[in-house]
Amino acid sequence: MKCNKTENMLLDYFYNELDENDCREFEKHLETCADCSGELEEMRLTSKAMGTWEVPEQKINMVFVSEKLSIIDRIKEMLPSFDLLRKRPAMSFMYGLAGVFLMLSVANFEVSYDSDSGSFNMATSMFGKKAEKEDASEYELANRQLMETQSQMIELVNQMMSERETRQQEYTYDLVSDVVRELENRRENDLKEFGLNLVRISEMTDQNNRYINANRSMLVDLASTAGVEIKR
Amino acid sequence: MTTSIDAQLIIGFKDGDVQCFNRLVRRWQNRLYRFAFRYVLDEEDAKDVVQAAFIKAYKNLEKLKDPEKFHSWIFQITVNLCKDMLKSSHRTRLTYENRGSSEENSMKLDEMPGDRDTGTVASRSELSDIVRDTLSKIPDEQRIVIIMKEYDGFKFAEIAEILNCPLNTVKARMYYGMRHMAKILTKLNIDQEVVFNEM
Repeated sequence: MKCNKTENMLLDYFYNELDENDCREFEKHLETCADCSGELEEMRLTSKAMGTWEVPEQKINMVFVSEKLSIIDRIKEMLPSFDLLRKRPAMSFMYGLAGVFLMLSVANFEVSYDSDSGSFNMATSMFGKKAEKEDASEYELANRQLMETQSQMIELVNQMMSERETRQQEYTYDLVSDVVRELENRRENDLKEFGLNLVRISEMTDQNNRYINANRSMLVDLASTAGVEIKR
Repeated sequence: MTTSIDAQLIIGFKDGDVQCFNRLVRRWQNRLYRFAFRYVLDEEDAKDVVQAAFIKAYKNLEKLKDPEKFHSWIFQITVNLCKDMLKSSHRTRLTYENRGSSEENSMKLDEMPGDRDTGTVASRSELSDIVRDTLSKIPDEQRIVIIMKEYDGFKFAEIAEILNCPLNTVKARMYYGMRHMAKILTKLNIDQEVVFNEM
């Protein structure tokens, strides 16, 4: 006779989809029901056998979307600070210069060894290995021109940087001057107010003295009327 | 609540980052291939199914309301495409002899119920072939549930959602499918000793 628990709970138990209470209840049931225990064992065996079937490895590499980017878009992707460079021309100019320097220095960088002096010479050149075949004087001239251009660029960069530094110093100086002026103005105002307060105090003191004198005179008059002499 | 990686990729794709879809494809292509292969039992057909599934997903991804349900959704598409593939190719069930193995090794499973001696399975790959052929002999609706449960690890509720049928129906198909498998394996004398020796 088939147990009525078999179909419903067996699967859930085997695949761990029973909650704790139901699980404990079913385990208790298994202890006394040969049908369910037998079916569970059968299921375990079948599942184990099925685990031997493995799909042969396949190298699947589907690419679904391929964007066609223009060269400018590709460059934009590589330079995340492109917008920043647009907004700050000085920075973009510096980056441009640095790029030019890099290109010039990498394009045919030469290292040669002078056996007489035992030293290494390094130089950049526009013409690379082909320069060996050309006329030496033309090569030297071109090299000299390149060096001159490089030094002019360096000078230009230095000039730009010093101008920028000067401008920053001036700005700082102006800022400090403003602050000092402001402080002085406040100090002056404070002193004026202090002075005014002193004057007021002095006036009040004079007034008080006048009141005191007036009261004394009255007292003296009263006393003399009464025939009493008041000595200071 | 943290969003799953799939959901994040779908949201990214909907926001215009088309490369997110490629990443989704890379995440799922192998798993879908393994599922499709187990169902249609042919490498090229399985690849076609997976490709078609991703094409369909690409076209309809905007309509997916809940990105967290992507895994069920893509499997639903794949299951339907596998069914269509089998219908359209009028594929016959693959038996051991149709696999192209040598005559010495070929046999018809139903005709040799008791001829196997216990322990004569020579290798794990032979047992694997037997399992594959046994699975191909059980009804489609039971087979698909078994594949999704045993090999893809879906919960019964998820399988019910993907196949769009009641939970009890899924469990019944699983139960009778496994019993069917067990019966055939027993006929071939694939018992505990054989299985555990090969493992």
